[in-house]
Amino acid sequence: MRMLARRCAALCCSLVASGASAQQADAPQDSTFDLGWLADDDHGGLTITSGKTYNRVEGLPILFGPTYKGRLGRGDLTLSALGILRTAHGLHWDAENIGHKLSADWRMGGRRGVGFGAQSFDVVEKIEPWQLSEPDGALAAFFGKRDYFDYFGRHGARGYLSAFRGEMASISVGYGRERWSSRRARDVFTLFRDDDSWRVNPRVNDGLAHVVDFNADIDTRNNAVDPWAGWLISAKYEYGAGTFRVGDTRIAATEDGERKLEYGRVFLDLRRYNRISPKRQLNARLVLGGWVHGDPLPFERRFSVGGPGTLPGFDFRRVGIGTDVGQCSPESGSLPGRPAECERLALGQLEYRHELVSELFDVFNRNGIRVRGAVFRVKPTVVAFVDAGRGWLIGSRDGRLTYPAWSFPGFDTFRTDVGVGLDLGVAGVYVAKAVSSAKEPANVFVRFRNRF
Amino acid sequence: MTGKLAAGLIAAWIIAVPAGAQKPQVSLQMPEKSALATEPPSVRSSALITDGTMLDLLRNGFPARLHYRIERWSTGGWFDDIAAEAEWDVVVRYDALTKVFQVYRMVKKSTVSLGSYGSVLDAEAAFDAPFPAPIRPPKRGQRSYYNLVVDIETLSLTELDEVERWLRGELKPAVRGKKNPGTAIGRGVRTVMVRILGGEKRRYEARSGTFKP
Repeated sequence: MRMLARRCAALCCSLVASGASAQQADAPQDSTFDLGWLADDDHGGLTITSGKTYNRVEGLPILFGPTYKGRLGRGDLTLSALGILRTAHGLHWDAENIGHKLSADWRMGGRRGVGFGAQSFDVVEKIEPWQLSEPDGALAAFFGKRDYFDYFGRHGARGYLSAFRGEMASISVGYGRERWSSRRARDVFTLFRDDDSWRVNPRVNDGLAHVVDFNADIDTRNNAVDPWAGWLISAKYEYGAGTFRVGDTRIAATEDGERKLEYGRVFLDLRRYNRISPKRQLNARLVLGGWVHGDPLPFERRFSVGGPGTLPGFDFRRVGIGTDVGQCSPESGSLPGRPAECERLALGQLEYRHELVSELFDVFNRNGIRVRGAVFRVKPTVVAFVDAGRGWLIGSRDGRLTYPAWSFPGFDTFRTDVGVGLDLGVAGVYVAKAVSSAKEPANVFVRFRNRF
Repeated sequence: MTGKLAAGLIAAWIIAVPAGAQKPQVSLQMPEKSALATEPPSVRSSALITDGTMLDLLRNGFPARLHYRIERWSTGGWFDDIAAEAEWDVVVRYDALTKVFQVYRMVKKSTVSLGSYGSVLDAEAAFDAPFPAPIRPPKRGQRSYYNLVVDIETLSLTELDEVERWLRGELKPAVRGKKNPGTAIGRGVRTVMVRILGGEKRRYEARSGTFKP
């Protein structure tokens, strides 16, 4: 599909650039062209783009700079040198508002092949990007001043080797040397509730990290945005080592507030989409992650559950309903910003979708729902779902929060919820109710993309 | 009171929709029952690129790309499976020099010109006509259905182009004092939000009934 798109773009660019003489309306139909030579015409150019996010640390990051696509030897070369300007604090010109992202990637092969690349970056990164897809996170922050992520700064470089089979499967191994740092919430504009304060962006373990990662991805979905069938499997093992400042977190420190940490961490996101009839779907997701060896995980690599992306029946970063299996904070209290502290996580999500007969909505679809000339069409689908998940710490068994490395918490300790929603295609409105904590009130939330 | 007001607004909105306006749509035309195992369905469409916004973009030099994806699903087990799939594109481009719309269809490695036309209606008609989908039909006795998705986007319309269009069309008059700059900036923000929501892309779907050749 990407190849076809590239050929389309190449065709159009070529036609625009060359000003090829138009054929007349009575020209013979079905004349076939050889357009193979056009495939190399898209060489990139100047790019300006948003970072596809909006958050309390950066505001809207704007990436700009030159990009280049071309051939090098027998492979495709992609280069980009993007500067980052962040809109936080009124676009103030300071170190927190400036960053960069440089990358070089070389790939050889069509249906299957290998590649390698290098990156240099000074970026703001989400701690748990798997929880919620964009633009849901960005819109919640922009409109409602609710930021469902925590962030840290990554400044360094990374190199990697990869092998791929079409767009369906890839594996890679990479090595990075990165300085991780805490970032604070800044003065960021929101459309509503502008007088309220942002939730504190929690402190992380600042330090220089050496990271080796192994990644394997399989994606057989028929559509990435609205899949009806297929697998999505994303697995990652990470080995990290470095000296970190741990004084502001709950990791035991030496006298100078620092500690050498050497850890192993795995993460698995497994999704299966099933079509059970032309209008019905049953989809499932399993997320497992956590510490596997070495010292405790730094706070940049911890986990949590709860909130619209994982367990929507529970408020985001909810505490005070018994043992905190959402963020794994002890009974003595949470750290500022209620950071994710869990060293392991298990989450299961099951979702049933039923497309409704849309004759009623076709009245509205006749000319589409127009917003600034853009046309949105309604495609109503009823969604019913159930979720269960929790996080825990690793150590000697201690109540319902800490478990030995080789044991798994009982399912009766999981937070569970159920819910229903109406997804109109443009956006969906959902109601979720906690089951494991019956006194929790129901939550109403909006999602602009499928739940997973 | 509020309910009456809402009902009135909805009624007014429905009435305000031009009754004669042609509805953008795609459809699948199935072959005769005796040919279900030998012939693929044909794809028909109407009014996909003739509305104001798309036409405006086309006339400003942004080619339109219509990406077709058809899937044949087999049924019978616990879950339906994709038994076959095919993709192709139609590209429509306006040549400002000769003032004609050029239409191309790209299937696999073959690109075919469907002609050049003086009006957008004629260009639309060139690819609206029934086109046999390049997909393998099911074997006899295999219970199946087809699903077609058409994504329409304006090629080359990057965010840089969007900014340029905004500067040219809305902000420049504001800078010259002919327009309220606050409104122009507000429109720009709304444009960005519409793009975040995916409003720059259009998607149409069609599905056949379940059949057994």
